[in-house]
Amino acid sequence: MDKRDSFSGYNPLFLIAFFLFTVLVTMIVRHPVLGAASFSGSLFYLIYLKGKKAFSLVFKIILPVMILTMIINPAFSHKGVTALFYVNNNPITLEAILYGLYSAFMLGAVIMWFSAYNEIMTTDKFVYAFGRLLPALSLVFSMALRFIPRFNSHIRTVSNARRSLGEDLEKGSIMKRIRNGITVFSSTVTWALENSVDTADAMTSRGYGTGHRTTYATYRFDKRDGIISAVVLAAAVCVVIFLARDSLYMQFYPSIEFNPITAGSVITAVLFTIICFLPLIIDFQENIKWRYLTSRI
Amino acid sequence: MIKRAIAAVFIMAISLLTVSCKIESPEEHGKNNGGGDLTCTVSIDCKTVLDNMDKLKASKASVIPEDGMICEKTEVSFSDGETAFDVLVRLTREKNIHMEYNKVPAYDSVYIEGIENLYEMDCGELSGWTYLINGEGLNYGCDQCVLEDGDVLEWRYTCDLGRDVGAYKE
Repeated sequence: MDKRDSFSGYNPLFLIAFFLFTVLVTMIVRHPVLGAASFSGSLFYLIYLKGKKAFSLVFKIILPVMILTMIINPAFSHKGVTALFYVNNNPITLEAILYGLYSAFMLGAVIMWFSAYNEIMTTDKFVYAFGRLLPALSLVFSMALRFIPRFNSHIRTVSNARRSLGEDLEKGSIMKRIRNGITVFSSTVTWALENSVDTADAMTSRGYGTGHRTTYATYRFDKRDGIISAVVLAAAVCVVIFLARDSLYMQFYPSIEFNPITAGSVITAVLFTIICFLPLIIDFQENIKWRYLTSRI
Repeated sequence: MIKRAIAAVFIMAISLLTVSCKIESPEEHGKNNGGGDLTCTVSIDCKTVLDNMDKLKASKASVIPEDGMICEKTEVSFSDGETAFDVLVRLTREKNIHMEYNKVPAYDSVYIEGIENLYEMDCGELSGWTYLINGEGLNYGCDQCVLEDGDVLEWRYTCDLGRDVGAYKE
């Protein structure tokens, strides 16, 4: 199937609000159903967005972070009524292990949401969203983000140039390699400082931040954005209202307890699950529409 | 090369941890706690919480006994040179009472963070566990307080930095 991400085509303001809401609910609310919805929603969307690259991110970064969290929490937190075994007179409790497990999934979900955010929120979208409100900050931010790949490529250029001079970074004694590395690094830092001043000067001389300005890509807040924003806003308000009444809450310490299941908690869980899977739902719907339209040609 | 070094350090750290840690099941934990020919009387209570129920964290209400006594007065045997901390460990192990402590390097002493899932700061910001020997509060850690035969050791939960249990020293 033709893979295109139509979710990222929505207005950047809506996208920022969407990610902010999902990440905040994931971080603040403690409940396995919401955690599972957020984790699976972000995981599937990330795989849809990045394909095979998503797996390397999941296995190389997210999984180790999660395992570390799972180990660290019961090792340092001994709260809880169910002692499984004792280490140096301190109990290792079932509650602490489960809490570690839960926070691991929460952390994984938040990392994946941010990674998906990075994938679809390009710098020009960010400048569009904040350019009028905080011109200086959004420029600095977008420059800083752009700076990391440029820094890397410049380091590669300089070290290649030095390799052709015979000062290879990967050969020789450790001391020699460190000395070569420092030379490359210092020249790159010098370049970076000069470069940022130049860019700032160039932007000032073009009148950045002085008045109304246009952006590279224009995003209108059109009917489609209005409809999706209204739907998500309504769902989000529902979720927040029900959460404020504590209908979905789980207690880990000192013993594990759930609030009783009510109509409100079921509605909250369903709505939040739909919100988490919204990017995928939109993408699949658009893909089906595209297939249908092309098949008629 | 670097990966191997990291793996070696990791394996060494884990093996060091397992060697230096004493791992026991809950059944083993209650048995073979040592003892000695001297005895003292130990009790653990959180009666002050009953007067400060409004400050108590809602999640902790289930761990507070009705009369505030977590452990009634009990005779505990100990040997010469053992401290209030050793006796507390022995008692909580025998009675299977939850207890968490923390070694504070700055004071080179042990701090009792929580007993029976009642932790410091669970009942207002001035609350926590303290101890009294023969009705008197001491201003040093419980693992530096060497007990004598016949001492009365009280572990008490305070909601006011020790003032409400008479353990505060001006």
